[in-house]
Amino acid sequence: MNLELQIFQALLKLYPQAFRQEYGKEMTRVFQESLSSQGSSFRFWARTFWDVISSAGRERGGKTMLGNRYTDSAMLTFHFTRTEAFRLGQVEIGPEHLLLGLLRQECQAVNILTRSGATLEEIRGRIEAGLKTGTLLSAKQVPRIAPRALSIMNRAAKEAQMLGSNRVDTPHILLAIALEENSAVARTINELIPSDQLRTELNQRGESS
Amino acid sequence: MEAAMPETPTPAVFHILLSLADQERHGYGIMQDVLERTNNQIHLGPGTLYGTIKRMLEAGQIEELPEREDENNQRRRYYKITNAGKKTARTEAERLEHLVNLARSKRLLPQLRGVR
Repeated sequence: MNLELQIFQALLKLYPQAFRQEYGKEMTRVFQESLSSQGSSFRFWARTFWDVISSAGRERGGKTMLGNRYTDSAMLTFHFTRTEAFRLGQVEIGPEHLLLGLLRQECQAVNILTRSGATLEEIRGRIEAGLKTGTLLSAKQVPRIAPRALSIMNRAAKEAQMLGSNRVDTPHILLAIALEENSAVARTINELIPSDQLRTELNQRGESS
Repeated sequence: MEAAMPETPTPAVFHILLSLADQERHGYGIMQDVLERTNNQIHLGPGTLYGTIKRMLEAGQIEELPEREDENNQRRRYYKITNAGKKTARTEAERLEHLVNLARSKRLLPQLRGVR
């Protein structure tokens, strides 16, 4: 590996892990192509440093569309969500994948769900069983985010705001999935913990902190 | 209270929308197109480029397409503009047009000949 590439790889560490996993490969490629077309001049490096420092700062802020911020576990959830859709070979990232994404880490949402006595494996099994095996990914495709998943992410940001929390955390994502109408995955969550109870708990937590 | 929705897109967002207005492109293709169109004035570095792409995907202004090979047989992630993205670009272009007309009426810019 050449020196230029090593420097860029070190700079990439400034981005949050989830962002790096999602776009690191593409960014490195764009960097290499710019380097070979523009040459390793002082100007090139000044621009590269400025680009990384300004954009990494912005990504670290991790702002939602409503302007509030995600916690690190919430951001990691989005990464795992995509990984889960990939693993299951599904074209569209939906609410099921968001929940599976939550279940991939030790987070508050998982604590809340497993408190009911259900194990992680049971919950995971139920969600995967409910997934339609409809259109499967071909080798050339990447899963894309379905509008349903996007509106859940926005709902999570709104719920966090209404609950007086300045960060969107994993329980807010869980609540947003549970509040979706006519959704099998929402029913699964409600059987483990009713969404009203979940909201009340989050509300109390918000007041105590 | 939530702020009113129509926001002025950042220059990076507007340039990416312009690049994708007429064809699907991958990240490096967008960067090259912006450079060419702006006479090497606007360099979208990898961080700004993918950070902006990420936010535009979240806002539904662009869409990711299945990965495919580019002209050099490299696997790439391609993006295309959505109807919402076109609308954002059009609204911004109209806003800029209005400003230019205003500047013209204040004689900051020469009057257009042949235009009524």
